[in-house]
Amino acid sequence: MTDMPQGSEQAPQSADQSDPSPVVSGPNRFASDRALGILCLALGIWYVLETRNFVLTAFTTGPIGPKTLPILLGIAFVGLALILIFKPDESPDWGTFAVWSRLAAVVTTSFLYGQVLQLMGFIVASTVLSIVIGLFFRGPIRKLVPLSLGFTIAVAFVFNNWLELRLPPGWWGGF
Amino acid sequence: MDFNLLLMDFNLWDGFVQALTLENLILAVIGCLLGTLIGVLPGIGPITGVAILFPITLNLGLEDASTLILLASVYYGTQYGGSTTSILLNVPGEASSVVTTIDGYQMAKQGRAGQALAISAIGSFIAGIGAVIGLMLFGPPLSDMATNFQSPEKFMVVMLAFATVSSLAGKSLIKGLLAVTLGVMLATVGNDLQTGVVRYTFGELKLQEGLDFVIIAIGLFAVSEVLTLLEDTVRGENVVFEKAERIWVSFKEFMFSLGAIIRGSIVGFFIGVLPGTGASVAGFMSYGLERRFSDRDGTFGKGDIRGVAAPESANNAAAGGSLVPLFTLGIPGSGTTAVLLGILISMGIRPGSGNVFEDSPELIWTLIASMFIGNAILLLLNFPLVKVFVQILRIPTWFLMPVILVISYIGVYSVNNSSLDITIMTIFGVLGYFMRKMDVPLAPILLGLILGDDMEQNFRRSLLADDGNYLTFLNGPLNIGLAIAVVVVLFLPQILNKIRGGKIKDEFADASAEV
Amino acid sequence: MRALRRVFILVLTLALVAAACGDDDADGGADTTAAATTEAPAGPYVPTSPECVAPSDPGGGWDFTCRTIGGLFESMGLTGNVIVTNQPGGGGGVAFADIAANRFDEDDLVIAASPATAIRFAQNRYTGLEADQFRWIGAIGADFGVVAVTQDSPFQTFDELVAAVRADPGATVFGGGSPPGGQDHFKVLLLAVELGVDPEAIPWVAYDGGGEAQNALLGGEIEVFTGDVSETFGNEDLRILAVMAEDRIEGMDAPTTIELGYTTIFPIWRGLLAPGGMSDEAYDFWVDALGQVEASDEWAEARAGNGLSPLRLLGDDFQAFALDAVASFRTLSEPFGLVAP
Repeated sequence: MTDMPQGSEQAPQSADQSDPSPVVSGPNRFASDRALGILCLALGIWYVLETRNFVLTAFTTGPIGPKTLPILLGIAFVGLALILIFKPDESPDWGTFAVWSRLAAVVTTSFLYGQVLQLMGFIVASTVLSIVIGLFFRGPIRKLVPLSLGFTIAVAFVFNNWLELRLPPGWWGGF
Repeated sequence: MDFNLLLMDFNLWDGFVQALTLENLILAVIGCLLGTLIGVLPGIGPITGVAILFPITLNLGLEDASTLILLASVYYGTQYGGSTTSILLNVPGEASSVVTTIDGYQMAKQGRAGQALAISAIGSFIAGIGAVIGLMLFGPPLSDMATNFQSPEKFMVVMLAFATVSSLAGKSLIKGLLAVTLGVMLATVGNDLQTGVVRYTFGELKLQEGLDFVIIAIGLFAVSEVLTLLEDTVRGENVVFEKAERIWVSFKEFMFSLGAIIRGSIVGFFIGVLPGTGASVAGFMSYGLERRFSDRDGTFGKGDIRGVAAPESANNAAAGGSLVPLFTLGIPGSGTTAVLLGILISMGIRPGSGNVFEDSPELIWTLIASMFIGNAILLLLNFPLVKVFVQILRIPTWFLMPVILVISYIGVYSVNNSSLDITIMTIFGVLGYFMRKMDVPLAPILLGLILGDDMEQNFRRSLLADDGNYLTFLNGPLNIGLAIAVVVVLFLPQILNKIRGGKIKDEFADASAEV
Repeated sequence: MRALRRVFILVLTLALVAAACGDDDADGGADTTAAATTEAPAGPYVPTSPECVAPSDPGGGWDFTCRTIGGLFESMGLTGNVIVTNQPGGGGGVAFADIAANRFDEDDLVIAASPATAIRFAQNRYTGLEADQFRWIGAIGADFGVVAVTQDSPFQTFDELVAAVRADPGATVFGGGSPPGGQDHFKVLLLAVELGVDPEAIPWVAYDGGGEAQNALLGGEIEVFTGDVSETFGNEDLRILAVMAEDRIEGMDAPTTIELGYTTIFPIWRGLLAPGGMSDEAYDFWVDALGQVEASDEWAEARAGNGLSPLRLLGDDFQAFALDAVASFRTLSEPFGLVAP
């Protein structure tokens, strides 16, 4: 329980695991695949149940309707998930808190980037994204800041002026 | 049909004469360069590139022939540019270059990016030339085949594609099947074409037209690659690419890949001829076939040069093959040929009405000649370009990773203008990271996503049109032939292995695709 | 500290460079750039950064409208450089939702439209948005629906087809490039209603675009294809039983539905509309500009090249026409559950 990601995509709760050894031993050896199996099981069941919410029109006739394939797929998926739960592979090395926190931070920054892109504009938002990601890759800030800024400005110039694909102007309209 | 195309009043030779002026050559060089640069941007593939540039070329006031040459060059350039990022950065720029990432990126990691890029250009060149010859020789007879090729046949080809690429399953068969099922599940998102019923969109209008393949591909491959490399960095592992030793293929490597190039070209051309299948499937199928039949030492997925040569040739040959239904029936087989059809129509050529080879020979032969020229120029440009591209890998990781992310996000955003795309890419990046950790192969997800809709719609169309008769799938020689092909592809490698050495190679146990 | 100062200087320099490069391709709403496009015709309103939204991917019909008409706006000196923005998704719904929420008052913004737009408004596919919340600028050029069969089809005339469908609606398989309730299927819906046949009884096979449907027709998978003139023009393998128009199409040897004694026509017009908050001055400007494009030789050439017939419907006339079309599409869609709740 403590060393599997629990299906959650950021899974910070598994970060406190203290065992740094590459392969997990003991009864939790198969926990990752079992968790994946349970997750897939849930997804498959939801996927089948969701077909009840389809809004049909008068033209939904024919021997096979819009629900058939989803139901078949869902059943197959559930079956595969069950096999995985009962015949799991060994868990991979999920790494330490240092890994998890950084991954979570990069993912959060990327999500935020999508949210603020319209508001802040391409140049500002992308420069910030680039600097933050670069810092997590242990880049020197002195070089990252000018390089990121120069790069985003160059990209903005190419997109706006040559390709005529307009990037969101936001705080710094630029070109 | 009068079929002596080479003896007609205006033939390929005249096409070359028409095309080979200094102005046109300069345009071809510009087009190839521009196309390569645009194609490098993820999300902007040949369709978008040509669609965006076409109106700009109109404003230049060029002659029709020159416009065609410029656009053909742009087209080849974008396709090549997409392969470049697949190989160097694991960022598939478009559907057709997804499969190139599998071995191409491994080669780049091993310091063989130059060879991968070079074989991609050489393969594309040979396939492009081969496809044009195929177009001249087999065009009209094949167009009859295109009309015989209906929904049941298309469904069978989808089955064949699934069979050929079963070798992509990776270490665990169960996980490979989970991945491909998930891919087909993702393909059901959006409007159902046969009924208009909306499925799995959560009320999000954007999802009604389905999940965009390119967004999923970039998320699963590129974003998750950034996350994986971040983990390696934090762990203190070396994430620097090996330094490139050579930047061009040796004669030995070329000869080693030649078989893959020829087979890829043939598969690609015939898949391209089939309306509605297109280049992305061609790449997957030729890679799958090559891996099933040529991978004797289990080197595919670990940087085998044939794993780059085969799909890259197939893509280009498919592009040529899709001109057959376009010229003879006026049916665009792919998105790009749809754009090309629009361009031809605006020049007063109506493919499908009569014989374009007889009615407008000048432009058609000029177009074909310009395809030769575009391919040749692209190959020549590659001697210097490969050197430049390989330098990208020398950018330190701490700056290369931000650049990959920004370019991936903005390339997609600029085409669709939707922040939701960025969110979806990030979600699939996270998903891709977890799947890599747990040895769930990524390529089958994309394959399911590409083929899922074709599979479902063609299946249902077949039954709708034939009043619910399931035997429609075995009706006619084409269908039976395809069914036999499915069986052969699935079981022949095992049988061959048995005969060869008595040792049965467990396909799924030792094929360890790094995807 | 020194590094920080260097960065600051760099930022300033780049900002200056950016400002210097910026002013002929203005889009950031900078006031100083208004001067750049003043060579446009005199009048109270001149668009500063004209933009045409194609609510689809590059390469489709709406994209064609934006790129062709936008290009003519510019080359005829009516506006500055027209930026084409592709905003695909939800059959246009994504673009309309975004414009209604964020850009409803913009004067410089036009959107490409066609009957597909009207059908989706009618079927409530643009959640919560109504056609009369937008200002319809005009339509210039129209394609028309056709009813096509193969040369060796048992149906030699439209009347033979009608008789067969009346006798047994389920026996003849129709198909086209849209799902049920979409543009190609609507032609069948309209004709069935006029003939007094239950549209639900007519089998419909949907394809990914007209080209694929045409291939299915040639291969015998479907028996009737309801496509467009531009898709079928000059194809000798096809027999056009009827063109769904008032007047015959030049160069197409096929009767119109009107001359065959029916009333159903199906023009596929190409037009522009604008956000509802657009000022009257701006609206008048766009109506006038579109009228000038329609009258130009360049448009006549582009129109003919793409198989479109002439059409000139501008301003209030077009507004009335479009709202009318939406209303009748809605009346037709409702009984079949095609109108989203």
